Amino acid sequence: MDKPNGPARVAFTGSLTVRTADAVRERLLAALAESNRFTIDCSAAEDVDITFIQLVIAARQSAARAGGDLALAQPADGMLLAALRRGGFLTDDCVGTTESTFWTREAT
Amino acid sequence: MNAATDAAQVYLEEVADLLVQLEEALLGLEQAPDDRDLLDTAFRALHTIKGSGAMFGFDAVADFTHHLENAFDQVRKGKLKLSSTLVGIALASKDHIRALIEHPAEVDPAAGDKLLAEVTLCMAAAGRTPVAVASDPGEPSGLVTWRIRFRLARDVVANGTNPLRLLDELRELGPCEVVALTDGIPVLEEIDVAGCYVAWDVVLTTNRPKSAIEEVFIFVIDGMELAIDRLPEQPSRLGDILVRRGDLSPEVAEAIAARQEKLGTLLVREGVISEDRLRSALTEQQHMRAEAGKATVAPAVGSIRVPAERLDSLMDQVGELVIAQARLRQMVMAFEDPAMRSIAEEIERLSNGLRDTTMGIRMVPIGTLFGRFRRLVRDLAQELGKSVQLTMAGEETELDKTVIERLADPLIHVIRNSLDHGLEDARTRQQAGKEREGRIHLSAAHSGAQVLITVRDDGRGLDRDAIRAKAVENGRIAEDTALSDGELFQLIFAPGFSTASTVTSVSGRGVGMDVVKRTIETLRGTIDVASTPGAGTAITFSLPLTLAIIDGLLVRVGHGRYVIPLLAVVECVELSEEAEQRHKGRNFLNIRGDLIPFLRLREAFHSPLPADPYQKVVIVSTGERRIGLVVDQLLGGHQTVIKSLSKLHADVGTFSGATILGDGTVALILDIAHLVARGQNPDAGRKAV
Repeated sequence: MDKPNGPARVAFTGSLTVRTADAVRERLLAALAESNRFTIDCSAAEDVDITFIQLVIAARQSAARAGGDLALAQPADGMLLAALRRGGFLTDDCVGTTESTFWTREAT
Repeated sequence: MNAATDAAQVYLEEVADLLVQLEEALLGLEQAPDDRDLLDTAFRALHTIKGSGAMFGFDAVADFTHHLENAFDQVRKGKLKLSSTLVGIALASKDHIRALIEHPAEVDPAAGDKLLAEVTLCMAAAGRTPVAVASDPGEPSGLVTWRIRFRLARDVVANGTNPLRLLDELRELGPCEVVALTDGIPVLEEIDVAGCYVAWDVVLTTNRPKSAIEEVFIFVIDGMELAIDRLPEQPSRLGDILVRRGDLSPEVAEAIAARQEKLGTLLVREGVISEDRLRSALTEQQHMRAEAGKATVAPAVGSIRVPAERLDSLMDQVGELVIAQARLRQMVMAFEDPAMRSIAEEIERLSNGLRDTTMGIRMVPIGTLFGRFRRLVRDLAQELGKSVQLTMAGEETELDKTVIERLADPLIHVIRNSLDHGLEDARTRQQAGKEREGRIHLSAAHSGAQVLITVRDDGRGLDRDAIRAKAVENGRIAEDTALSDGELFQLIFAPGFSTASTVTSVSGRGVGMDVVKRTIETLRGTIDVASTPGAGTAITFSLPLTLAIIDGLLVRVGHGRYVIPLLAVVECVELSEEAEQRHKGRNFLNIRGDLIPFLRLREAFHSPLPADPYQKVVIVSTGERRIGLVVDQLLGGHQTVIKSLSKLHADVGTFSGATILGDGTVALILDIAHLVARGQNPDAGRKAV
């Protein structure tokens, strides 16, 4: 939201679990209300569980329904990547479906 | 050492084992070319050598092995017949692989190419003459692949369950692919943040029963959907997988198959199935292919590799513990405190258990050693142009690891001698009315505290006259010395003693048998030779079970205390005044009708003290022979940690070692074999000491 020309960017840090899920949803909803095209940055996440992954997927669907797009600011790494692998959201060698490339591709 | 070299080291050790397995399987296949298990073992060994070789950067090994693996794969599929030529090539290739691993720099690449060319030739020849081999492709392993499809109750996360943890638990059961199905996730506006919307497809290969999978879900079973299905063993086509899962109707699958396009892309483009579901089905397919490709790489047995030094240091520490425990026991005996005594007894029980377990860890079945000789015998027999059958018995007999390692060389020597000198060539055998094929039988068996290892052949037997003549010529015995067969045969272990008139590449140089004897003696063992002219020779090594700790009987002679290995003790009797009078000067004891010679240790050890009034006789035996040892007092059982004597005392025959007693003093351990020999022939013994 600080860059006037590029898409808005929402950064999530610290613990992103069921305890903080309500706040994460509020921020995502607020970002969506402002623009249907934005990126999220989770590189400083310290703990990620399934609720956060679900929220990102849900937000992506909402953005798509509004004709926009949501992307990750950089390919998933660290705690997020670990949680994606543990949960089977990403598989090592699978075909590059758009579902899995969403997590691994860089925002354009 | 960094992680990479560590891994390489593990690979090297693994390959060493695999090569042994491979060789055994190949030699077995030579006898029984249709044995499916042996074939699978050989194939698996090659497959693993190749696979891990590539992983750890042994590319030359991986490349070379790959071709051989292909050939064996053809054999498994019945497309290639396993000829003795192919087994021969495979054995040579095995040696080449070993060389590639051990001395990569010195290996001649041309040798490898030549072997590969021979393999190719074999395969090409088979291409012209296809063979029908009835084979059962079923792998007799307990591994089953399951597809687990589940959707958790919506509120599990709110109730404190972490779904990722459940997936981890599934992964602990075996190789596992997890795919999340996200099509149940609603849009952000409608989502319940703590709800669980994801479903999962898991493909798991495990040897655990279905109930183990169900157990993972035991706490979340309320309100969840769970389907656990067993998958067929062969990888399926993508369409079949999707239809079986109910993600696709058979009609659609048929229609699409007719259009000759890549099914997956098409289905997604047409919107028939979601990307997640395709990804999940593809993952299953890949998992099945990977598992089938592994062809049940030896199902992980519950064993680990431990460096031998660690076992040795464990054994040392247990030894120290046993000594400390003996001291504790001695100390506690002085007090009348029952509580303290019961603790001491408990510790004694525990340290005995620890000792037995530790020694058990060091025990290795002798089959590991015997297995090596099959190749030796095969190669030697070819070299000498003899036909030899090697049979074995008692491979499961266990011996201390160190003993086994040091037995290899002496046994090789004896087997070589049997093959070269013992067994006649086919024609001579036929003339003597024997089967053309010579026989060598290796056997191992327990006998009291000892293990007997015998190499028996059915050859011509030892030539008494030649040995005698040679011994006289060498000046070892006088021309008129009367010797029993046993004594005469012992002469073959003298240094530089060979009666072979021709020296072959194998034996006849007269070096070796003395080394054999020395090695066996350092293991506190003995060698017996039995031979019948024309019918063969049997050489038997008698070895102690272990070199570390034994149960001993502690006795007193004069001032000194001595340990007699308990397993050698047959019984203890009192040497009555009367009996001593009666047998004066004869030194024989009548035990239930048997005359047993006895040895007065007081005299042997030159004890200056007067004898106790009631002396005891400990009857000990080695094999068939028994003698009595007269001692002053029996002190009781003692856990004996054997400490070897210094080099200075290495040739003292009467004692095999020393041990430390509870009060810190040293007791000598009697060498029973030596004493028995001396008791049987007291005059020779006296001369020798």
